[in-house]
Amino acid sequence: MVEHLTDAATYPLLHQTLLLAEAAFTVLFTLEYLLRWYASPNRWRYPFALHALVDLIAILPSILMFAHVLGIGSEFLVLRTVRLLRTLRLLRLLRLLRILRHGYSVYRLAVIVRIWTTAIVYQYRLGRVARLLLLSVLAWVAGANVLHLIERVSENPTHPSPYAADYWETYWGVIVFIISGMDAPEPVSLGARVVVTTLLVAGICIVAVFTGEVVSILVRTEQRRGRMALKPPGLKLAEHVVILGRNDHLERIIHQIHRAFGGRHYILVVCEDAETLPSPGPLTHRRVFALQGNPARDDVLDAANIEDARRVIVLSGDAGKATPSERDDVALMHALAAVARNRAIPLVVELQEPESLRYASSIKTADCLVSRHFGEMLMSQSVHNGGVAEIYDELMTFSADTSEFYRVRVPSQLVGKTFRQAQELFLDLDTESIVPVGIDGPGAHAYRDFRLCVADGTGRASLADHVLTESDHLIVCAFDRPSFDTSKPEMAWHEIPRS
Amino acid sequence: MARDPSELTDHVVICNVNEKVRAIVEQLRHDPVAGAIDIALIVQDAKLWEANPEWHPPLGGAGRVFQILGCPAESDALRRARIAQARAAVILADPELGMLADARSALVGIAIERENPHVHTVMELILSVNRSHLRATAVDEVICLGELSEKLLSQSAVTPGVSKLFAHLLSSRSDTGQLFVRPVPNVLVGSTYRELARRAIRNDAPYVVCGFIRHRPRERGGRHESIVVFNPRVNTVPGKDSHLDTRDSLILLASGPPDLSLMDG
Repeated sequence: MVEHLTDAATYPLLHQTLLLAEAAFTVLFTLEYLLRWYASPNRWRYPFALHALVDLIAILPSILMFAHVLGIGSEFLVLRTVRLLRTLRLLRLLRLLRILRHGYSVYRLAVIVRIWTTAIVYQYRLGRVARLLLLSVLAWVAGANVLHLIERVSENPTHPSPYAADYWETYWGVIVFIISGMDAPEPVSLGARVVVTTLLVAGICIVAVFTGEVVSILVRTEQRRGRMALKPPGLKLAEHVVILGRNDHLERIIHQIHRAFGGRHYILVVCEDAETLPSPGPLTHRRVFALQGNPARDDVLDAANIEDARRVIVLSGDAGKATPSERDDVALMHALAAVARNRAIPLVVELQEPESLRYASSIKTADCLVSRHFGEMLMSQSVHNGGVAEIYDELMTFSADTSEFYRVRVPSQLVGKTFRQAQELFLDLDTESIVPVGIDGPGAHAYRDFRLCVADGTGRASLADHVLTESDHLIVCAFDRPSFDTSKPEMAWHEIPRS
Repeated sequence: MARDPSELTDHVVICNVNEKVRAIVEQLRHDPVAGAIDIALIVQDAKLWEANPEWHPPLGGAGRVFQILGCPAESDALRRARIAQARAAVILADPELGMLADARSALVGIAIERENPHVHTVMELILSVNRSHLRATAVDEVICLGELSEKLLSQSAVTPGVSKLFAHLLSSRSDTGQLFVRPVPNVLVGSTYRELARRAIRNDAPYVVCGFIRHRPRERGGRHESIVVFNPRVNTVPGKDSHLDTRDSLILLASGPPDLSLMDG
């Protein structure tokens, strides 16, 4: 937005340019307002919607201003002369209210900037460097003032001191003393000489510490090159995905999660060897932090801020000396520790032995997976159906070129229609590829009561004649979340159900 | 367990034994969709096999299990398992070899190919980095548990509960949906995916046509290359409106063997 606060008489060209720019923006915003009104589903209600009022308040002052400039309604405006115009100018600041429209984006940007700056400050120890610089500046200011004061008090007319005559010269003198000490004129009084000597020693110390600090930062940066960024101690992540433990699958899980969430959520890996974790690659590096510590310890889970996390993934330990059962024990302990801090958080727990599922069933929010079990089933199916292994591989991979399963609300235009009609509608849809395969119940617990469109006891597709209701969820295969799933941008951080 | 497999035909040969063998044998023997299947189990390390009775499939039930002692990479053991008459071979990772099992499994795959180039081969892979090397072999399907674990964990983390859907689809129970891959019958050759899917919907077929697999010979080498087109798009080739031919296979979601004649006309 342009504010033409320039004086028209002094800067006529600039004034003219800014005025034109303001006119252009006003026309643009007015057009946007009218188009939004035209496109709104309910044109009677639209002007009274909060965002529409914000838009109107934002453009109205400018429209009134230009109306005055063009002489429209001039009688009314002239009466209030300059005072009213000034008021109108101030009113134009209300345009800033338009930011409210993008409140979610601004919030998200603020969060990203906060996390990024905290990480940079921690990685390069900028806090310590800043404290050191502050100390130097304080020493400089204090030293210069003390030097000036002493020289002034003990001023000798026969030996005039440059530090007594000129206050600002003292600052320059102190700098020269600290850096070179060669060309600066000597102080005259004994006290000032003591001060200068102290400053010289302090300067040597500060420079040495500063140099050491910079070298240490460079060495540490070099040592951590290619490694996962460590979570700064004071940084509180929110809406993040926490991975407890590590094994060979970690890196690829990070990539999958990052891709699935479009990089919106931060990922925090908590394990005892976080310092040595490799970086997940340039694309995901900025969204992933590692936290050193035992994931079963309270202070570590505190630092992971598991209360505000969106998801927790518990990985079983590396296949080293521990037996599969021992690995499961550790994973279950980590899962219990997470649930103890946040009972509602959805967990995914990787287990090795099917027997461990008995214990895992006591954790209500946990989704426990024994991949061996899935592998055995997939091998059996592959024997009968050549190619299914590749199909499942595609269905389980998050990428732009593969389909995944999505559970979405029935769009309003399909409410009251049969599942068969929905199938035909999606088949004819060419803008995006969607195959509906079944429906899920209305509950928040996904895939608890789902039904697929396959034969029932009668040999007919049981779902074909099912009339879709608003509370139904469609299970569809699609390359991305279907566009008819019109969740608001504000919901992007909450698009995954909490339970 | 039976020991004379001389009459075996259209059976499944399982090479090597590990902790997965019991579940796999059980599912194959009691598959309600495919029916009872006979199994030839090639056991290389008899001591290991005897030391782990929990791996042994239970006696009785549908389908016979034949145990053959020998090295699955050698012709003798494969011939005794009648690999030439088998419908499929499953190569499990040798637990004695740990992370090095993939090399032995690949050798077994090559040996099977030499004995019967037409048998459908499914191999268990330990290290996903070896997957690309197996493209040069005759192994038809490679299943890496590590990859499967990563993908399932990610899917479940993003969409809680979706593992139940996968478990449902992968289960061989008769009351669950499964993905079936069936060659395009001659009467349907020339149709597009869109046409077939529409006919299935309108004829009230008890299945969902999800896509197709295009098998084509590779430019180099004699083996075929398969392109899985699951949920075909309009703007890609092959896609929603590509004409299918006899070399293609349809992917269908059904609870039993799908009747493709329901898409005819």
